[in-house]
Amino acid sequence: MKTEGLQKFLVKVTRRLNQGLAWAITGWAVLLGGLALLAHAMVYRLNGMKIPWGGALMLCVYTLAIGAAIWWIRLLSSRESALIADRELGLKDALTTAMAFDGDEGEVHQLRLKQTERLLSEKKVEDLKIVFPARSFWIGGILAAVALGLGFLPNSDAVQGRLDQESLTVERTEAIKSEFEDYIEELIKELDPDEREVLNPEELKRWVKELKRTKDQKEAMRQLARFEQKVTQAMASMEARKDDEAMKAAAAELAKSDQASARQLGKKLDLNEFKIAEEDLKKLAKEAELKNPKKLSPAELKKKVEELKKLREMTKRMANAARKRGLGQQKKLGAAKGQMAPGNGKDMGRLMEAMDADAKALLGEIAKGDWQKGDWDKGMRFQKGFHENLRFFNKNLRRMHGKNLARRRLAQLRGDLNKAQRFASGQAESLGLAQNRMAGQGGLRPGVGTDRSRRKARDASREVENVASLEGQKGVGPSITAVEEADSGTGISNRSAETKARAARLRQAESFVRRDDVPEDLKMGVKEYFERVHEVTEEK
Amino acid sequence: MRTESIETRANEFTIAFKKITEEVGKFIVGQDDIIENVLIAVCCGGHVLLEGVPGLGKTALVNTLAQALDLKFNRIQFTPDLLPSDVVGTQVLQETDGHRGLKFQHGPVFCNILLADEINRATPKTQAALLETMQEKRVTVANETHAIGQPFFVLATQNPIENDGTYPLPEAQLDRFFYKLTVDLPGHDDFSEILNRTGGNSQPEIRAVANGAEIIRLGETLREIPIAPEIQDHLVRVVRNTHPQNDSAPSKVKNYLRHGASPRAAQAMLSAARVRALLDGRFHVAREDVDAVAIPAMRHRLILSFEGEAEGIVSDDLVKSAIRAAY
Repeated sequence: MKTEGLQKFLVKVTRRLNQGLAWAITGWAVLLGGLALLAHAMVYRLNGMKIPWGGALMLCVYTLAIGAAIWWIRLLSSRESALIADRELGLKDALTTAMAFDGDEGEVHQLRLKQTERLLSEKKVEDLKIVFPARSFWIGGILAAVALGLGFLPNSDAVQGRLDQESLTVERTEAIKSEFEDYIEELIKELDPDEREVLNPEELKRWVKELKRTKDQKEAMRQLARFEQKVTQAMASMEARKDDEAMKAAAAELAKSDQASARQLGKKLDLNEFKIAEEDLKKLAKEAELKNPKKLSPAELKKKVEELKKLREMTKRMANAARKRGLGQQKKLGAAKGQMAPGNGKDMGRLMEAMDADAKALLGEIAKGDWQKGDWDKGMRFQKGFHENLRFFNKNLRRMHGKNLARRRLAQLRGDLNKAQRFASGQAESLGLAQNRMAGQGGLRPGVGTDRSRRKARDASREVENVASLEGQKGVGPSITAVEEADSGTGISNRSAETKARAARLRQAESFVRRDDVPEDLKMGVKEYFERVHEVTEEK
Repeated sequence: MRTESIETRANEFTIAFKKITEEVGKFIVGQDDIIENVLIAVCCGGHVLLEGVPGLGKTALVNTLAQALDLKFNRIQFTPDLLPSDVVGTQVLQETDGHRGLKFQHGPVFCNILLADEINRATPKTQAALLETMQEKRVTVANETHAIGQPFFVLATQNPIENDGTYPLPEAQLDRFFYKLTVDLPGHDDFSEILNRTGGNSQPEIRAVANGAEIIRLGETLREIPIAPEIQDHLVRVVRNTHPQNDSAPSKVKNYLRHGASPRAAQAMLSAARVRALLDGRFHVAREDVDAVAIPAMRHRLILSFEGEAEGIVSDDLVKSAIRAAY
């Protein structure tokens, strides 16, 4: 049993002691908070960085929160307060004993209680000393003030430069991603149906999606390099070297024909105008189609046979070319190497030979004249076979056309990626993808002329524009000390003479290629050599 | 059955204690602490071992106390040739009414206050006879048990400087002493006062201010003084801190002690602390009471290790560090 006086005294003691504890903990919190602030400030300053106020503020909040938590955890109970009061007020454990025997009502406890009350009446709670931690407050305050002073210093030049660079990289990576997203959307809209067949638009979108916003310039460059690698792989998967060779061989063979339409076809194949060539072939095939010769007038039949002969001339030339090149031996031509541009399993060499065989057989059937007896089934079978093979051939031509277009697109994209790399590395101030896309739709690069009578579509895949990666060694390269000769009085350097000489050599080569007495293998070799030489010169 | 209230008995206790102290103080000068501690031990029914060089008034103290308490007092001067029968008594052949028979002749232990002077000079056998009597408070000779009157206190003395031809008390027997008190040399003023009081023709007259029954009543009053669990915990911690095996024992104890104090020491401390509380006018025991009685109650119960012996460690210092570690 505790009396009211004792109870009140205990409450007062507990409150006062907890106040004292609060002051003590606050003092420590201020001191440690000041130390932490200074340490925080020093860490940043020693690294040349401006002190982030947010971090300092958080540190203060954390210190106060931890202090409050410690105070709450260490709040003194009445029993603990009694022990402390006994010691500090010299109560000789009277309060502790009173707490321990609370509720005991024996005589001795009554006496003890009276005695304790008498003792407490002589004591004041205020006699319990509460020490205000002035020294901790002063030291903590001074440390915090020093930290605050350091907080006004700006970033060092090196750090500021790095931060600017990071922020620029973030902006630029964002811009690159955003522009490439738009770019790919536009590109997908512009895609030709043939291109759409070989290019996977979703794949392109996924590649762009993989570009992430980053402040690390190296990471940004790595992302772009990975993107470029994928584009390069996709381009490689679209290469159909064997088909190209077959078409070149066929074009060369067709060029020797006496027939103008065959030579025209040859030219188109040579210029990689596969779509036009396909349309021409389709038109010719339609004109030469012979459904029932019996129903035709002799004049119409003669015309059809003439058309068929023209077609036969073409297929014969193409089949010849295929046989000479041994293209028919190839199991698969133009097979897909990657995800994009899967092949259809029919190779051009075999198709050309099959078409020629069918055309020859069809002409033979007409010549036999069995159709006059009403037996046109065999002829129809050959004609059907011919048209079937022609359909596959045309399909392949369209695919080659699509691949060419897609490769150009990808080459353009790769060129743009190079620009993006330069932009990300800070070597270029603008990305300019849209501007670049408008260019390169055909023709040669500015400053590169041609001596040919026909213009060839620009092959952007051969361009290497990533000049950022080219580095020279200062002082190592040869200096131009020689005086160039020029024709007296013309004002033109001897470079024009060199151009003239090269054109003459090309003409010579062309005539060599056109000669009938030169073996085809040799002609192709020479032709390829000069084409390669010409391409290298063009790139220069 | 007593009808007086605790308050009355406590007052009587305090008054009686003061009277005895004053009475003893008439003859003994400058040994107030010793007088108080001896009286505390007497009130608690415990035996005291007094250690001090010759001539400090140990025997005089016991004599005076016996007079003041009006109790039967005997003295045994322990020597190496003293036999157990010289202490507890023996059977002698006697003729009564023409019949011869063995009759028990009571030894000097049959008294209320026994002064065992220079107890360490007797052989262990004789020491053991006395110490057994101290514990059992009875004597058995020839299969006959003889009870010793109540109260019974043994106040033994030993000289710490003359070790030749002595038999140090074994630890088990030391443990039976409630207190071990060290009698120091008196100060300058006390010295003069001793000369003043004993140099003249007149000797102070010691009156009996209490008797055996009162002493027993005082002891019963003590048991009613409560001790709070926190204070009892403190007492236990102090005792346990003298054990080197205890994790919370101070390093000094761990380094220099082989064995600590027994639970009997804790019992002695509790009783003594209660007396001190009553003497202070309190009806509860405080930690300061426990701390004050810890040294005399435990100093003889601690067994120093080899290192402790070699370093000349005083067990009082170890008790002090055990007290400090208990807070």
